[in-house]
Amino acid sequence: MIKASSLLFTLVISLLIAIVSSSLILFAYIARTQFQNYEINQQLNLNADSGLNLLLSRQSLVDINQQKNIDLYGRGEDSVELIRKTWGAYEIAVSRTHFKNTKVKRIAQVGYHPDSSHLYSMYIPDHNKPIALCGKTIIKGKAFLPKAGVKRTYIEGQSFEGDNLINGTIKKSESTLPEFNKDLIKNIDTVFSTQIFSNDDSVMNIANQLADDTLKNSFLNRTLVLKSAGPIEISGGIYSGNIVIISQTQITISSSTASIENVILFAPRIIIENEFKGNLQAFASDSIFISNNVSLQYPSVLGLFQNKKSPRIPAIVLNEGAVVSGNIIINSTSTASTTLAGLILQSGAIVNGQVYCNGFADIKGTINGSLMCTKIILVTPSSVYENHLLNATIDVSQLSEHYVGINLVKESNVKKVVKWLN
Amino acid sequence: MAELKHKLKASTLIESIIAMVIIVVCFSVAVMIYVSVLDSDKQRVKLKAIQMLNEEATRIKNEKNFIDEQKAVNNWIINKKVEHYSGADSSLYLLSLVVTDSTGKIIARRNELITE
Repeated sequence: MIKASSLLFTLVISLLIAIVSSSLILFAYIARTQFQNYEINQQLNLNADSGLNLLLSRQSLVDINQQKNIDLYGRGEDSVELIRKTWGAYEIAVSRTHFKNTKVKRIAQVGYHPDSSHLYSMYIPDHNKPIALCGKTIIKGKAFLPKAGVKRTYIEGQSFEGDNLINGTIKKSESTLPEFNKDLIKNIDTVFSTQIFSNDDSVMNIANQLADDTLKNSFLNRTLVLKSAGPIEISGGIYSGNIVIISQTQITISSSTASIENVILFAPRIIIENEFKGNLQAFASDSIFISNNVSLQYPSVLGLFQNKKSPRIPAIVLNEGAVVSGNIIINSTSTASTTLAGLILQSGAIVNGQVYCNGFADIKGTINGSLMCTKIILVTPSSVYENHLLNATIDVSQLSEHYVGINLVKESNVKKVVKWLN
Repeated sequence: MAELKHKLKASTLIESIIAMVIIVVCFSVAVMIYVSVLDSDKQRVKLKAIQMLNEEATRIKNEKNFIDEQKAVNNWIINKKVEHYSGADSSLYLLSLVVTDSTGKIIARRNELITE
């Protein structure tokens, strides 16, 4: 007997068609949702980038440590929230936007890109004394020197070995250094006097030694301040992001296994030793000592700010093999030449960036960038020479064209992103 | 009259008609869905246009070519407009890119603030 059952066959076929059709509907729905998400993400990313470009281009738009909502194109559809805050010698710029639950943010460490016309290898104020060069000293790039000029000399058994004293144009310097950008240190100075980074911080009092913790804090959060009245030793752990460490006496980074990224240190004395590698800003009032083979990666800042509690001769010392990529600032408040703050760059030490020192500088190492200092000295085992450079290299041509500094002497108005942050 | 030896079970006329109606309805719905899914090809076209605008914006920023211009790509036309962004310094520009088809219908647009 042959079964007819056409209705049953029809139902089976209908079921198959329904399955295929519902699959197609599902596919179309997913494709449409994905496309809408893509469109929203694309728009939010464009708006976040545009907001950051606006913030870089128009600095007065948002006051420092403030935030503001901006409608980018006046259509009510493209609003971004812009935030500016100081971060040591640099600035943090934040641009964020959202649509429903989709959020996009850009956080950048921002500095100033120096105009090439304002980049020079050396600026030594005119005190009516020539600069004397000896040994394998190399100075490359435009140099602002005293009217008495530059001469070759013979000390410590070494005469000048180069062909040209200065490989670049020589310009006459003024009797004082270019004026230091005081806005830069306004916040830093107050930290030393008040021991408070800002009023919105999350403050945590800590014991003398930081355990091997992992602390990561986003720049969208409140700043985490680790504070101690005594000395602090960092012997390990990971510290990254929006973190400030303040000690009223001394901070020591004693281990190469410690990982420090974007952190700011404040203490009268700061010691970094044991071939540590990291990226930080360190501000002291007494001294900063960088031991052999320590590498502070770009963009790092070492700042020494002499105050009433500082010792007689505060200094930043970079030992042999130490590398600092970024900026060194020494703000000496003393007027007496015997109590000036200074920089001591030992043989083999390298600075990739700009150095501003309104005190003395004893340069035996290399500066791939520029040096602005009030007075040059040369300390040897047998004597101290004034205005002498022995086996020093100062070469502004080695400074990367992508270098972004901190506007030491207000040499630039062009803000650029130094580094993207979380 | 000879008697049939075998019984042949068959569907009734009503049963067959219902089955045919169901099949027709099912196929109609399926075709509608298929057409609707094919219609989502518009998204693919828009996606292609967005990608094209992204590439064009990257090229403009790399070449720093900040002049207004119109460009034909296949059957589409890309309209580029660069103007100073009001209220910012002179190095900030508003880059507007619009893709239209041959009938002038806008397929995709892109606005961005860019620096020199």
